[in-house]
Order: sequence, then structure tokens, then C-alpha cells
Amino acid sequence: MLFNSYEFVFLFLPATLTGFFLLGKTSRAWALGWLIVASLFFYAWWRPLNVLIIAPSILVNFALASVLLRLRSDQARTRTARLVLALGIVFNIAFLGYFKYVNFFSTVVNDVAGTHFFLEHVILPLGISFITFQKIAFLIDVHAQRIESFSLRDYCLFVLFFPQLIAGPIVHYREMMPQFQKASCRFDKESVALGLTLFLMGLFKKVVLADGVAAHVSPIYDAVATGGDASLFTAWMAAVGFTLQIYFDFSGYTDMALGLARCFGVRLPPNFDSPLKASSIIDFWLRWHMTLTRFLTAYLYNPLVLWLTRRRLAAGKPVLGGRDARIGGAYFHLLAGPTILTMFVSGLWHGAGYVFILWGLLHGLYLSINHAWRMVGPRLWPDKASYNRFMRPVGFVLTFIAVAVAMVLFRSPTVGTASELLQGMLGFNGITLPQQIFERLGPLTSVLQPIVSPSVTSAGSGAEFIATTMWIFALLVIALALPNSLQILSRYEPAIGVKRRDEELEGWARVLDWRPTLPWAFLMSAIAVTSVIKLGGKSEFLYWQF
Amino acid sequence: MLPPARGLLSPAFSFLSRRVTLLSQYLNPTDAAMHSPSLTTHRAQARSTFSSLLAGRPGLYVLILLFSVLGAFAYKTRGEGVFACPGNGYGSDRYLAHCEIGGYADYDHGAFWFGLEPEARRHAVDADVVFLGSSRMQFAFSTTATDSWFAKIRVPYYLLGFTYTENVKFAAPLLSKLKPRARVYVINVDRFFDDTRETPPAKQILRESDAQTRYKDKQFWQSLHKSVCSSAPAICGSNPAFFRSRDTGAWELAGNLAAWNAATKTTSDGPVSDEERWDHFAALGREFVSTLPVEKRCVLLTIAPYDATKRAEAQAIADALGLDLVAPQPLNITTFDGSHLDRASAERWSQAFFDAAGPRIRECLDSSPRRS
Repeated sequence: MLFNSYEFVFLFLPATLTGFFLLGKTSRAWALGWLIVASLFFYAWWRPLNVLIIAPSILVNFALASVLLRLRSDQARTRTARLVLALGIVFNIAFLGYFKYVNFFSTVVNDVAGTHFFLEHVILPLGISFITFQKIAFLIDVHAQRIESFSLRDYCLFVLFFPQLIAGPIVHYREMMPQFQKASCRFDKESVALGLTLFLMGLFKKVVLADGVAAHVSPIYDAVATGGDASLFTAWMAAVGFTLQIYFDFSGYTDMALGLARCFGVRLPPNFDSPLKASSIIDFWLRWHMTLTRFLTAYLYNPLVLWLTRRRLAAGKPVLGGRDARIGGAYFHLLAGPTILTMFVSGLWHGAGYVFILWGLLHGLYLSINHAWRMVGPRLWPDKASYNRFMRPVGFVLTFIAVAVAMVLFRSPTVGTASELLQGMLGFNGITLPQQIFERLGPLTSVLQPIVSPSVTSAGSGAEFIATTMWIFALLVIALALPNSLQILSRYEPAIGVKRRDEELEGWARVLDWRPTLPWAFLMSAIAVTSVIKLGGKSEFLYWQF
Repeated sequence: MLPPARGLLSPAFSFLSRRVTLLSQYLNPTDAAMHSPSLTTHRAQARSTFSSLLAGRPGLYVLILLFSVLGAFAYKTRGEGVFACPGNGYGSDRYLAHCEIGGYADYDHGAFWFGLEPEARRHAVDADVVFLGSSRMQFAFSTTATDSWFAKIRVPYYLLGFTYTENVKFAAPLLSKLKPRARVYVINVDRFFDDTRETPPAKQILRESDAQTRYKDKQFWQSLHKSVCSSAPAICGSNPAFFRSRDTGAWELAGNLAAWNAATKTTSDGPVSDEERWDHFAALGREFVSTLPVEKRCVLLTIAPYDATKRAEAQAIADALGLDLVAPQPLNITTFDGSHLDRASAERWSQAFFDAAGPRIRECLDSSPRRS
């Protein structure tokens, strides 16, 4: 069931909330039990078989975690605990690997060995990538004694809680369970008002903004995928347009998830913090899909770097942060290598395909360069104030371009399509403008004649070209100039740790400081009506199948 | 100045008068101070009105949002969803195959492909005579004449045609999925063997991953539509809708045909066109017919007439395939929209069809054993 479907908005959600609040009056345990049942129903709606796939995996993880919980108190059995943890991680990765990567693996084997193995197409259970990461994090946290106790009901609630079940945010048990344990399970006007607002903001982002620009951007990718070429402007429209589409799509989904959870009195962690405003690629990853970055950093990057650092120290080699000036090796060994590996995993996690791997590797490369610059830049430019004054805008532009270039890989169905578009972005496919626009440029027409040629196929007609440009411009203004939804709602802590005091609000954030007042009610009503009118189009969330 | 308050309008005048005074005092305090000794009180009232507007009222806020969302939903479902169509075509064996509105449209394709109407699928599989084609075939054979003819010989039949001028691109995979046990096939050849065009429902079903979910959603909304529109028909609109019989596949038309510019038009043969593509159509037809598990003579081609019937093309394909084209031409046959036979014409045309093709159908049924 999609968050942006009639069934969800007008049947499932009201029924679930009503049941939750009614049962909450009698017993909290009943209300939480109801939430699990509703979440299972939500999950089964798309494909009932999914429940049969996910249920055994939950039970196996619960059993392993229970064993870990018993073993960890016994110092003598540390080794066994490690083995159980390793078994759990392998189980989860194998589970994910089978459903998500077996078809891709056969493709790779066929491509490399020239064979023609054919495997029956394995259908990917919804949200398996998110669920798997959460389960792995849970096992590691139990092993590391960060979780003291848990029950099957709590574990099911943690894994299945429907607002974050399909596409995150990726949550930690220790940030969710205390909230469930304290939740009143009663109707709270303020929480519901905030939750509904956040949900409607997300719905608007998805069905109006993301789907709106998608209608103009997707045809470009489809045309290139079927053999068309993309000239400079068209290719850039495809790149920037999709960057904005995925941003509003995923941040819209996340807002909806956060809003839904808040209706039940639960705060989820923030997942987006205006990433397109980032002034460096490191900054971008601290703002984009924040819970994924948090997971990969905590459970892959940090342990890997720690292990490598120990090995280097044991070998008497210099490490980063030391006084030794010869840190080139350390940089590659302890920073660039682990970063690229982590982003490779990130790419593979996003999708089983060459384009996703390349997307991950490219971001790994970006991050490595950014880290290197951070080490070298301040030495070359000691005046910190002027450095910041210059580098902030330059960094912003470079980051935006880098992200948009990488997004071409993310969106393209094949490496060939991506390559065609990237060539177009570099101007290798020429510079064209729709005939209708070219003819109306007045004196500019003769000036541009030597480099720009008129085209009747470039991004469709002149009207389509203008419409796409206007969409991109409007979305850029929203994404870059306005405060994000969490900032607007920050007075009421819409996500874990996102709370600001009055004196911290500035600029637009002060003007758009949300409170459940009548003006806001009318503004949100307008947003709600527009979103509901636009509901029902065929648009899955881009992150739905990850 | 406002005129003196009088009669029925006096409360409104006095209210307006108070507001105007208050506003003028607020905007022009010096002048107001000369006339109004209670300026401070008025200012305080204005401030209090303003601050009450900005006071947090979560309960009222939630109510306003819910009201807006539900209002928009009601508008949308009635205006752009299944509720734009009437519910008077449902019967014990009929479901809504198509509602002519962007937000719902086709249900039939998905119902068969995803098995959402198992009864309909079962009857299609068990029928001895299966009719294939588009909506033109459906309207031409959804008649009492067809029903009576098959009732007389006690043979089950099924009209397996679809909207959007559906063709072999959907019919072929559907048949290989359903595996009907038919002993006779009647194909409305009118652009049926055209693989250059993929209809929107076929594209969605065959290529889009969320198609099943979307059709299941339509099934759900149909059940709601059935119960609401049966008990309160006034709520539902009158856009054209087709209801399909699960037993025979026959369509029943409901709703107001004005949306289709439904003027009666006489049928005639259209000009010959696309001759260069006929060989391709024939090749495709040959391939399709070879996959049908019946004797070739038990595959009959026909073409239901309309205002530009492609009779020459149909004849050419039939000749190339070595099959009979049974395409009667009774006089004064008309369509209700230029494309589909009206009820009376369909009755006469289908009767003429069975008069002509009946012996061959009977012969095939008699000579070929019923498959289990």
C-alpha cells in the first residue's frame, strides 16, 4: 500500500489510528499489538506472500538476538557470542543477497564468462534493504550491550512499525523502544496536528512536486534509452530535473513517514536536512539519507578504519592525525580506501545493477577528493575567513554539479544511457534549442547561430522545453531558498533531536514558524486539497523497491 | 457613510458599521481619537482578535485539515473516480469492466490477467466457443440473438474482447496464460493482428511492476462502488460504463452516452488504407492461429461493421490465412457512436452472423471432442 494511495490515506490510516486510540484507552499493550497487526496488514497488502518471507526472518533474528543476550553476560563465552553475531550478519546478508542480488549476480556471471545462465526472476520483497540493515544493527547493538532487554512484541514493533517499514528512516532499537514504552497511546491533539501537517507536506512534495517534474524528466531518459541523443541543455535538464525529483520524492516520503509516526506519538530520526544546500560532498552526505549514512558509518566505515588503523600502528606505519608528514599511504589506506568501499556498498545497497555500483563508486571518489582537499586546502589557504568566504559558494556549486552528474547514473536504466547523457552534458552531442525558442531569441539568434542549432526534437516542443525549465527553476527555489519541513516545524521537535528555540529562528524560518493556528490551517488545507486532487496517479516512490 | 439600518438587513448594516468604525480608528488613530473616547478599548479588541487568530488551537486545526482532505476526496472520487459511473449495471453475475473516467477506466484487462474475477476466468476457460477482438466485437455479439443461439445448442460461449481496440499483443499472452478449452474461435479481425500498437492497459499489465496492485485497488473500489451506488444511486454519476457478464463475457452498457458524442451513424466500408502492412498483419495472424489448439477450419474470422469498416483488409488477411471471413452486411445497420453497433443493429447483425457461420460452428463442435 502506497502512502500516496486512496486506500492508505482514507481507509488504512484512519482505521489504524482509530483502533490504536480506542485500544489505547483500555490497554497500552493492546494498542501496540494492534499496531503490529496493522503493520503486517500494510505489508501484506502489496503481496501477501511477503509476510511469509519476512516472518521467518524476523523469528530467526529474534532467536539469534536472544541467544546473544544470554551469551554476552558470560565473559567465558565471548567467542561463541561473536560466532552467533557473525552467523546473524551472514544470515541477513544472504537473505538480502538472495532476493536482491541473485538475478544481478547471474547477469554479471553471464557478462564476464559469456554464458547464458537464466534464473527464474526473484521478486524483491518490499523494503528488504531497509529491514535487513535494521536487523543487522539490532544484532550488533545487542552484542555490544547497547540493548539491555527486549521482547518478541517489542522486536516485531521495531521491525514492522509501518511508517518506517518500507523505506526508512533506518532506526535504532534504542531510539524507538523507549518511545513506545512511554507512549500514552491516547489521542493527543498536538501530536496529531503536527503529524498530519508533516504528512501533508510530504504528500505535497511527492504527488505535486516530484511527480510534477517527473512527467517532464522521465521522457528524456526514455528517449535516450531508446536510442535518442541528448544535447547539452536537454542532458542538463535530465540531470538537474531528476536530482530535484528524487530529492522531493524521497524527502516527501520521509516527511510522510515522520508525520505518520508522530500521529502515534513516536518521533523518528531526521533523514534529510536540505542536502541540496550542502557546500561540500561530505556535507551532502551528512544531510542526504542521514540514517543510511549513520548506519554505514557506524557499522561499516568506523569498524573498518579502526581495524586498519590498528594494523598500521602495529606495523609501525604512520596514521592519519599523527605528526608524521608522510601520510600519503595512510590517506589511501585509512581514508580513501574505506570511503570508496563504503560507498560501493551504499551503491550496491541502492540497487542491483552496474549503474548503482558506479554511482556509489563515484560518490566514494568525490568523498575521497573532498577529504584530501580538507587536509590540503587550509594549508594552501591559511586565512580561514577568506577561505570560507570563497569556498562556500564554490563548494556549493561544485557539490550540486557533482551530485547531479552522479544522479544521471542513478536514474539511467543502463550504463550506455548514462554515458550518452553524460556526453550530452559535456556538449559532445551538440547544443540545440527547440526551433520555436530559437526563432524567438531576436538578436541573440544570430549571435548563437555558430554554436547553437535549432531542433524540433530537443526535449519535445518549445513549450515542453519552457515548462521543464520552469519546473526546475521553481523546485530549485523551494529546495534552496526556503526552510525545509523539519525547520518549519522545529518548534515542536518533529524528529528526534530537531528542536529549536525562538531565538534560533532566523529569516524565512521565523516567518514560516509553524504553529497549529488558523492561518496555518488554511494554508495546509490548500496544500492538502491540491495533494488529494493529484492523488491516484501512477507513481511509486523511487526508494520503494530498495 | 453607511445608510441607516433598515428591516431585514439591519443586523448586517449595524455589524458593518461597527467594523468600519473600528477599522478607521485603527488606521487613523488621530482622527479616531477626536471622535472616539474608547480607542484604547477598540485597539485592545483588535489586538486580541489578531492574537486569537494566531493562537494555537490544535483541535480546530486538525478538524479543518480533516474537513479539507475529506472534501477534496469526495470531490475527486465523485468527479474523477469510479463514482462518476452509475452502479445500475451490476447484477448477480456482472462486474464493472470499464468506467469511462480517467481515474478508473479499465478494470477488465487486469481482472483476467491477474485472476481478480475467477468466475469470469473459469467461464472463459470452459467455453466451447471463444470470441476474440475489441469493443466492437463485444458490442456486436452482446445480444439476445447470440445468447439464444448458443442456448439452443446448449453450448457455453465467451466473449473475450477488450476495450482500447485491444489486439493480439495482449490476447496472445492472455490465451497462453488462460489456456481455454474452446473448440471454436471467432476472431474479429479488425486490426486484431497489429503488433505495432500497444494499448495502455496492455502496456501497464505487461510492463509495469505495480500493475497488479493498481488493479487490485480498482477491485477494492469497485466493491465499494457497488454497495454505495446500489443503495444510494443519486451519489453516483452517469458516465458511460460497461458491465461484463461473468458467465458469457457479454457487455451491458450503462450511463449517459452523451460523453461520446453518441449520435447514430450508419455503417459503411472505409477506404482502403495501409495496404503495405497487410502482409505483416497476415503473417502475425498466421502465427497466432497456429498457436490455437483447434483445427484451422474452426477458426472463423469476422469484422463487426462501423462507419469505416476495414472490410477489404479483413478479406485480404482471411485470404492470406486461408480462413473464412464471415462478415454479413444486413441493411440499415447503425452504430451509436460511429464505432460500435447499437443494440438493435447488433441483434440483427449477430443473428445474420449465426445464420451464416452457425453450420460451421456446429460442425466443429460435433467433430471435435470436448477437451478436459
